[in-house]
Amino acid sequence: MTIETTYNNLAFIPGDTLSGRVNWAADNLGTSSEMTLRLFYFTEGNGRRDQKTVAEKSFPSGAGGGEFDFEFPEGSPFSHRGKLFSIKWALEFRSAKGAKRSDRRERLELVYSPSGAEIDLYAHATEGMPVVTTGIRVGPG
Amino acid sequence: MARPRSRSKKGGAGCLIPFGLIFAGAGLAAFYFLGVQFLENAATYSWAKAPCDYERVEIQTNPSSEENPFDLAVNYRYRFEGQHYVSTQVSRSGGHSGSEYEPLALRRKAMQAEGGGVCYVDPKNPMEAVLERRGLSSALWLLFPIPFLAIGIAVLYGGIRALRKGNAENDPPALDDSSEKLNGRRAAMVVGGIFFTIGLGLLWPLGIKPVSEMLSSNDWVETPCEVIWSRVVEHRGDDSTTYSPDIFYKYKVDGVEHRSNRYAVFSGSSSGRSSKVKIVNAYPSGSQQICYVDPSLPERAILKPGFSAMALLGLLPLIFVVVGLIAMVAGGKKKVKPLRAAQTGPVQLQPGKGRGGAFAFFGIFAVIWNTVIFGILLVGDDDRDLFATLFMIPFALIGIVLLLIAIYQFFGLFNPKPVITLLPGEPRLGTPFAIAWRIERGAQRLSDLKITIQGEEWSQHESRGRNNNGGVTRHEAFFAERIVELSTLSEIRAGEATFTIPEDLVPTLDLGSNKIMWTIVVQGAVPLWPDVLDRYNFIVHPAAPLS
Repeated sequence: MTIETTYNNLAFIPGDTLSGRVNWAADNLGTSSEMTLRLFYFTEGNGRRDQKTVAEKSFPSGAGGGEFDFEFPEGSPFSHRGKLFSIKWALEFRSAKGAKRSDRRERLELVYSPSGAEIDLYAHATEGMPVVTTGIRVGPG
Repeated sequence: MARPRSRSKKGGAGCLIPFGLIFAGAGLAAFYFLGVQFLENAATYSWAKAPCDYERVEIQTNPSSEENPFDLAVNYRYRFEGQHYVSTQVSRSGGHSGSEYEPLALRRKAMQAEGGGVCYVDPKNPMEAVLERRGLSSALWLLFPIPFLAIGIAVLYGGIRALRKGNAENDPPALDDSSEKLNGRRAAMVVGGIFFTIGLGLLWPLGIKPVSEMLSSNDWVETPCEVIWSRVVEHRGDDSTTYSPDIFYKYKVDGVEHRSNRYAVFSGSSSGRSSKVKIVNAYPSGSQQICYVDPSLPERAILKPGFSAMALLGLLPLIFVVVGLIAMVAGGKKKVKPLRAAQTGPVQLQPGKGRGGAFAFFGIFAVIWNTVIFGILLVGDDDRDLFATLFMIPFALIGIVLLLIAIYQFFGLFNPKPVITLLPGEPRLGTPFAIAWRIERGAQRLSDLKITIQGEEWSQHESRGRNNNGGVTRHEAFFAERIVELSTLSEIRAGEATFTIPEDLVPTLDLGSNKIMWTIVVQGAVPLWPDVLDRYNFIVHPAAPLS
């Protein structure tokens, strides 16, 4: 199983199209009659995980390969690195049914942000920041 | 970033699974036994109805029995398929015996008035009949093991999930479990609903009804009575023994003799024998006393009218109601708040709800907590053992702290109120915006004013129990900058400052368990009073797209 993006590009900015090609061999299929490629983001950290698939494409298993073309939806979260959680983007290709976790999928990690680089959440943090940790919270959020 | 370790998770899961199994097993066993009893009673609903005549209805007393000294003995005659039968069986689960005389006296009165009624005959064995079918009442008992069962299953599920998570440490996240949190919330709502219903169901019989009866007992009629027996009854439990006074007395209303063994409206047993001995000694056997009779029901009498602190224990179901309500509200929260389009007009942020909410939360919590804890303390076992008293001290201290916080929040309600306006509207990363402030009342009470913009990441972590319903929320500030620090009244009263949130940071984000929040923190020192400390969450949008 392989995932290749156009020009091997792994960094994207809002408005970009993510395109490429997937290929697979018959011995990767198991009992599945369909292969699925998904574009998704997920959180990584010690807390609970959030994740969401934003685009998905299926291929008949007999085809052996196929092309894809995904848009990043407007308002999607950007790749960032924090202390409590980070946001990662990835493409995942796998057989749709009967797949075991380890042997029938391929993953390609991507970066999605306005600069095309992972945002460092603490880039402006300083030791003497006037952080207020208590108080009554009002308003949205 | 390093992945969470699996070893400790596996260890925790290892503890959770047996705990969940024991809890669920106990709930299941109780459910089974109560279910068998329920089915046995429910079978009588398929029995044939037959007319019957009561030949004898009387209450037999057995002073040698402390647990059930009273028994309603009924002889009745019924006819089924042309044959006559006699029986003494009241219900499938036995007769009508108990430790309280009053319910039996009321039942006897009703039966004597009716003279006869309907009995239910087993068509397969017409020799067996009952006067009462108790299907519904035993069905209610089935509700009690459900919380144990639900908690046990939830813990077991959490343990298995944690174990799986641990095993799959090196695996990337599965993609198709977006319903995971939804299931957790649904479970929280179901468990919360069960707690709420049980609490509400118990509040009437254990709390509201006795309290209203206590208040009305002040108007009951003073009546001379004679004590038949007077003793302290022991109730042996698995861990402790409790005691209650059992004073059986007779009295006359309109020339008719009645009996009762009710001491006060709210009767119960508690630890400490000597306080009960003291009560019993005040009503020796054979002595003439005064009892108080309900003018609308001569079978209802007590020796001690009025309010007793014991009634506060009846408010314990309120804890179930509040916990259930909190779980339902938490479970019902929307998962993800998508970022809406930027609001272009001025955005005014006002405090008030936050302050009132904090006071209401701590106030209600403090009242319930202290009512229950001090209710238990004041119930008045003069000889409560030292361990029991020491055990209660931390709970009483928590109650006092809660009360102090509630008082502090109450004073905070009267603090000066800053009104914050964002101009020209909700900000974007990298675009200058203005923060205008105005102190609505009492600006002169503030000796300084500080306004800070803060960016925080929030993440929900599994609690120690690692269930889906609870958990700990952690937060960490990744950005904080003070934009205003003032000490002169004219500046404090109103003003405006411009600020730009760096473009290379992140906008407001709510993914469900993980969030990015932007906050304006307003601090103001008020001499000899709680300080102003209000936080205003506001929406920050992504940087404007390049044209």
